[in-house]
Amino acid sequence: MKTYNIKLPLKDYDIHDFHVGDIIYLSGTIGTGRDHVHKRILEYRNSDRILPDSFSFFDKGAIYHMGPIVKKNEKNEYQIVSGGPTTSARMEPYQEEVCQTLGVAFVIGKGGMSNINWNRINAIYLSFPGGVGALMSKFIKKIVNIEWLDLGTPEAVWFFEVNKFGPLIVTADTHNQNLYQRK
Amino acid sequence: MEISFKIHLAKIIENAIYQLILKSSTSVPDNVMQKIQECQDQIQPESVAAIQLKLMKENLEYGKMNRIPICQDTGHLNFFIQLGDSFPIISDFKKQIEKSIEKLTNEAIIRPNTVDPISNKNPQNNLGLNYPPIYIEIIQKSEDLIITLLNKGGGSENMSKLYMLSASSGKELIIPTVIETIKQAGSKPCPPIIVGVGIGGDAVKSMFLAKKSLLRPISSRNLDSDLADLENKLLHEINKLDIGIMGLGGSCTCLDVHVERSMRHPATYPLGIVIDCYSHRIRSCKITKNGKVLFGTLNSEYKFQPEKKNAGLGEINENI
Repeated sequence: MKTYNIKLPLKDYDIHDFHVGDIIYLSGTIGTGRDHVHKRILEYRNSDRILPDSFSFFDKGAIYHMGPIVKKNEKNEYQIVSGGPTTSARMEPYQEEVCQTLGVAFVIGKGGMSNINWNRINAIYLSFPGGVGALMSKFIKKIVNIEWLDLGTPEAVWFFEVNKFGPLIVTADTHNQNLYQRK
Repeated sequence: MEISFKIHLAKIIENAIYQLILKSSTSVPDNVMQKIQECQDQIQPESVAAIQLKLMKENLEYGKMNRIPICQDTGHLNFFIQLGDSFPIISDFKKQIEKSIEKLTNEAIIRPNTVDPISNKNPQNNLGLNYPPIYIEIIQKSEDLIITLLNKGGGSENMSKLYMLSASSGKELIIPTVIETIKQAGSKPCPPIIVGVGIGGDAVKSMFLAKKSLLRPISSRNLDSDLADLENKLLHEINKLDIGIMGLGGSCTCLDVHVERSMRHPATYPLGIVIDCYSHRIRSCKITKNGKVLFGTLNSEYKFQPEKKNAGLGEINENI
């Protein structure tokens, strides 16, 4: 069980370095994506439409299964008030292809995912506890970009900069280990 | 005179609902915190489950202290209204509820959580057709209005089940069916969970009773000893499933099980199951006919119980 401080995009470590039980703290820009975002990414890919430029943050980066509560500050800029993870299992049908399309290294969520071949897609799954929304606001430095707001604020893609977001636990790795599966 | 009094009382109700949603979205009742503390005392300190539970507990404290929604999913707001037959206003209070909801949505205390199921559009105001769910019960010989709010998150609500069991063998199937449902739900409803079970009635009634039973306090038992035994048995069996905190293993899977029943049709045996997450956001308020407002929770008989003042809830006194 090791502890890692990682800057995004991932370049200091190989994805195979990580094992279940390891603790990770992430810094850099991460993006959110949940139900309709996953579906839409694949619709774009399947119809050869070009994804927004900011989606390059996902390359060797992190996709966070989350739909925040947001408010606008006095400068009319959005702020994230509360933002814990949503149930990752709902994204299972799309996850592998979404990760391959975007080059994602870390999938962050709660509850785990089954039937994902993490080794094939060169990604790992990181768990943050469900319901931990209020504390999350402490890790967020600023919102960097927003895409697909037409889906509504809980379902849009929010890119934000985090500082030492964690402890995130590696619960599924590229070595076929998954902490949600009971022996 | 009579009209202006009612307008004033309606305004008090609107303010009370505002406070109720605010409190409920930013904190859990004390007995939920106590149960989570008990889980913390039980589990292995360095385990991954312990790391997560520590964050969960810190989050509940941080949210309450700073009045930040503890979970970003502030849920669908389920209102259970107990309306005294002598309370001066007879209404479903939908207008007052909607006004408070709109305000709190603008203040980012609740997430815009209503989506049209056909257009998939989110109006961003937490309003819309047939929302919010309001369940009204008329209480005989009472002068009070009691409103209980359950913030019901989507992750746990997704794990709800209705079974129409065999009329001849339904009773024997209750335990295995509930256990299988919780097993299948696994990590998804954010364990440690609270399980509500409704037996009998019809399809709607069994689901309603399952949800209503969540309003009872943690560790309360049904006054009917058969159902109390069933609650204990189910709690024991669920905690043997090794789901644990957030699905990471261990015996802290379920904080409590509540069971209610209703007469069934000879041909049917409905079994309704509703699950709530550990972030069990439930609060009640009582408004007297004179406009005095008290906050608290319901007791094991679904009667209002004011919360201790040091719980940070206090009273609102309004003069009419």
